[in-house]
Amino acid sequence: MTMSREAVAHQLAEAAHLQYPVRIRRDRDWWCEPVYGFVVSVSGRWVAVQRLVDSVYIDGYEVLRISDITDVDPDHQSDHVEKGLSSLGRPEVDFYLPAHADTPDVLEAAARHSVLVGIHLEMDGPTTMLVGVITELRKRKFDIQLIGPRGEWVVDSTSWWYGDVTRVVLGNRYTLQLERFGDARPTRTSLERSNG
Amino acid sequence: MGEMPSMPNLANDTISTTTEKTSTAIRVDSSGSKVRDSIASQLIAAARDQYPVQIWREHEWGADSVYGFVVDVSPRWVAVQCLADSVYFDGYQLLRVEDVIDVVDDRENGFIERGIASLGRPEVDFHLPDVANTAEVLRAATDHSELVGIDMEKRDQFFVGVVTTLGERKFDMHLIGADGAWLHDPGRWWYGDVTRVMFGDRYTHQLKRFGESRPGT
Repeated sequence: MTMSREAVAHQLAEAAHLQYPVRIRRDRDWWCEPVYGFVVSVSGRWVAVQRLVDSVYIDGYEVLRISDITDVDPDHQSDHVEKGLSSLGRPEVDFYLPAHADTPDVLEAAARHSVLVGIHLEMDGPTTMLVGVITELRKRKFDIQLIGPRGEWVVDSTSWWYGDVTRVVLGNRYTLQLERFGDARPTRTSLERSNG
Repeated sequence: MGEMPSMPNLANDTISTTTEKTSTAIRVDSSGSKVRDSIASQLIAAARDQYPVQIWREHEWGADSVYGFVVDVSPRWVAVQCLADSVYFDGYQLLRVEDVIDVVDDRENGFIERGIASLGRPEVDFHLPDVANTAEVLRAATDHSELVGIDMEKRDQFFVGVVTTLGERKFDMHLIGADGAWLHDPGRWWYGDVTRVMFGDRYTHQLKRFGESRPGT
């Protein structure tokens, strides 16, 4: 069942206030997975979630477009999750959305928090996720220098539309291992230097 | 730095035996023995030389691909020490060899090797039994880990629990839910429906650690 926009906004605000885990669904024509975790910030057109994977392991943040959300399912019976978190610990929340956040604001906040940011363009297909360093925020597009799944950098930045961004990911295991074990980030200058 | 992995159960003197077993698997395949021969050879090579592989399976029933190190191969099943998010070890997955359609060698630029050298690789402590039919695979998995995940992907079903009885054609399993609560009674399923077995991973581990006590134990 699809919730009204008002109901979605109400559930997100309550989940952020009371800090119980929720499962957020976005049942759109394009494929997108549900996100489970704690709502930590709601602002403008976006919501930030401290994500739980495999039920009890905190894994960074997911920032979702509120207009895509069709259901916010509170997990009030989360004794199991609470038991896990009280044992494993919950990292202090250190990411918040700026006031009245639009897409450039979200990307800027994400880039300030983490060197590598994951950007989903889910309307283009489930496998389309860009990971890299945001190098420029322009009026209608942003530039990102991409790193591949095996830690190899693309030398030049590429431009993408803000309107295609449906989800932003930061501070999770996947991006952290790329940052830690990936190649050193090349720049034009370093490339020219290595080419003599 | 973690412990170095033990070598897989494919010492030189057993490779020929494994190959013979694989030949048995090829004979029962009706869709092209050359393809199956190639897949079996790739799985055996990946186990022998211990490089990471991406294993692809039939897609019409939505099977995930599996990434990791092949640690054992038998005629009908292959055991993989899985890597999640590229470089994090996450238990074992056992796959039916007949479902494998491609094995992609991922020895390349040293990225995975750098990650594993830094984070460590847990010692391989699971091997398939000599007679690895589904019942014996479930027995071996249960001997390794009390909680086992069973995937019946063609039915879009996944269960986690304790295998309680291994019958001739069916097995019984006492299930635990995602919320850590146990079902009251065990259920019964066909061996033939099992396409993947998982254990020793984060998901089953947290259920064991934080779930309720199993009734009657």
